[in-house]
Parts: sequence; structure tokens; C-alpha cells
Amino acid sequence: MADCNICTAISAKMNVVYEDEKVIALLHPQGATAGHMLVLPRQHAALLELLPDYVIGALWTKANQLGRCLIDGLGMQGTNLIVQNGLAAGQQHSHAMLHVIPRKENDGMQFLWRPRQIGEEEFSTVELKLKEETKNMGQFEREKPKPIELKPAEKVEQKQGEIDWRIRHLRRIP
Amino acid sequence: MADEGRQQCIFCQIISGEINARKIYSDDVCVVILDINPANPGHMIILPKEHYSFMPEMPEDVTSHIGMVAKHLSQAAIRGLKAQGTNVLVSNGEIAGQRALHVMIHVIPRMEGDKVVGFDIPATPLSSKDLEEARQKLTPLIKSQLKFDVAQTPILGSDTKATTAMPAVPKKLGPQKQITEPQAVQQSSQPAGQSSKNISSSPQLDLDELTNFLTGGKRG
Repeated sequence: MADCNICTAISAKMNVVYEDEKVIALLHPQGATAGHMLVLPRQHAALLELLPDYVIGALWTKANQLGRCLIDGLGMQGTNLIVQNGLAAGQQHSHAMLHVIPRKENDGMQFLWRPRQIGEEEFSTVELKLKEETKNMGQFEREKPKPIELKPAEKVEQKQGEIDWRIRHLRRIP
Repeated sequence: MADEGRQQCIFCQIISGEINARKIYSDDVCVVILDINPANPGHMIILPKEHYSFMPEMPEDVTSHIGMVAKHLSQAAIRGLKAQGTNVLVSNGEIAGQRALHVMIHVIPRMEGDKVVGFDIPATPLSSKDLEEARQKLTPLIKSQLKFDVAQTPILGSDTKATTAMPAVPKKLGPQKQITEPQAVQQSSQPAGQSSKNISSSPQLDLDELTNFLTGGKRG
């Protein structure tokens, strides 16, 4: 997309540490710490929900592998994988992304919440609503396999007198 | 060792039904339950049925499946609970906030002004030197594990003048949203470690985009 600064960064190959057909990972220049990676879908989408399932699957797989590299490579003690979907969740850019943040002791970060007190009734209502919405879940969109490219048939020169083995098979001539 | 881990693991006991929990969804790979210490109503946890201590241990197919489940749960939270956004969080390692030795993927519905803290990501100016150092350390691992050669092109940090590709102030999210000047100034003067929250002056337009898509035009 023309006015998406993330799409611009992707086409400029800014700070890229990994890329393939679907996914691209960059080092965030104003991240939480050096090594904070953004794992992005190549195609533009404002929210993760707007991406096909197989792209989401690819994003998570790569984010996990890159998380492993962060721990081993930078000597980190852990990672946090965060998604901010929507303004209310703190989304900062108009391009869906997964944040992979390396963690170590005394880095000043904390991804913890204060538990809210929720009554039994509200819990049950919420449970029922979510069960209703997820009852048909299970079929995930798979990538359509690309059609096989057919090479033009090779011209086989046949010697005179020789019968093509295929024709022989069909006629069952021993 | 793995079996012992499984026997003592509360979440494995929840999955097997020995301990009660409010289950939302279950399939061959994972189970989704409601968190008893929620950040917000509808706070869900995805648990892989197989016992993995932390996400880097999880194989590709399980990770991919759980990612897709997280997407659909997020949609369910928005449609079913009229959430205005969702956060997804995975904590790997005690330092990252992991409290139990079983992989957990949290999906938290969010509402505007719900005062939930803990999912704001701090923004720190990072020098090109620091980023280059990180890239150097990551390059051999990415080569061996992901079979990808990291290009050694100039790296852009906050100290690089030509950071036009990724400015500190995010561009407008919707077609009519404008970043005003005072907001831009405030963003750059924030000290390191503070979160760069930037609520737009007109969030309704962008939330409508989200809600319209997911609810087919109906808004609760």
C-alpha cells in the first residue's frame, strides 16, 4: 500500500533479518531493546484477522524460530511474543505485525497485568458467548497449491520398426 | 523427565480433565480455557495438548496451528464480546513473565479506556551500532536455522538521519486520521522506557473499519 510506512520499509528492505514469500522480519529501530524484531506479512493488512490463515501460520512459525535465534544469539533469558490488534490494544502502525522481544534481567520491561475481579455470572456469560462464536471453528484456510507446470511434450524419435512401449503396453504385446 | 513434568503440570491436568476449567474450544492439537486471573473478561489461554515447557520447544506444525486458533479466537472475542481490539501474548522464560512450565498463549479482549497495562511496548531510541551488533550475532544462527543469508546492508537506527521509511510517529491508520503537531513533538521527547501510546483523536473511524469487517456492518 502506498501510504503504509511499513510497506515502504519492506520494499526498501530496511533492517531485514529474514524474508520469504509470505513473511519478512526486521529489526525495529525504536524497539524495546536491540534485537526487538517485527515479524510482518508481506501483504498489507491492517489487522491479523484480515490475513488468510496460512499466512498467520507462517508468521507464527517464523516468529518462533527467530525467537530461538534471539535467545541463542544474543544470550537472552527469554522472549515475549506480542500482538496488538486494534487501537484499543495499543496498535501503533497500520500494518499487522508480531513483536518478538528478547528479555533479560533488569531490562525495565514488564508484560504483566493486574487480575480483575469478575463475578461468577459474568464468567459464565462470557464463556457461553465465546463457545457460541467458536463452535464452528476448526477448518483453517490452507494455501491453494500452485498448478503443476506442464513442459511441452518432448518429441521422441522412433526408429523404424520399433514400437512405442506405451502402445505395446496398451496392446499387451509381450 | 518429560513424564514427570507432565504429571506435575497443572495445565496437563486441566487438559486431561483432572482439574476443572472453563473450556471454550478443543481440538487434536490444543485446548482453550478462560483464565481465572483475567486481565479482562474473556481472557483466554490456548494450551497445546502436548506438554512443551516453552514455545521454542514447540514444533512448526503445532505453532502454526495455534497461531491460526489465536486469530479465530481474536475474531470470536470481537464478534461475541464486542471487544474493540485484542492482545495476544506469549511469555517464554521466567524473566519474560512465564509462571508455569507449560506453553500458554494468552488472547485478551480489549476495550477503549479499560486501563489494562502490561501490553504496551516501550519505545527506546536504538543506535545503528547496537542494532548492527545484534544483527552480527543473529546472522550465523539465522543462516543455520532458517537457511537465510542476512544481507549486510546499512542498518537504520534512531540515530540515522534518513529514517523516512519508519518514522517515530506512526502514520495515520485510517483514511481521515491526522497526527497533529503537538503529538509528534511529545512522541520524540518521551524518555526511554516509557510506552509510546498514541490514541488517535478520532478512534471511531478506525474501529469502525475493524468492526465492520468482522461483524458484517452490525455494531452492538
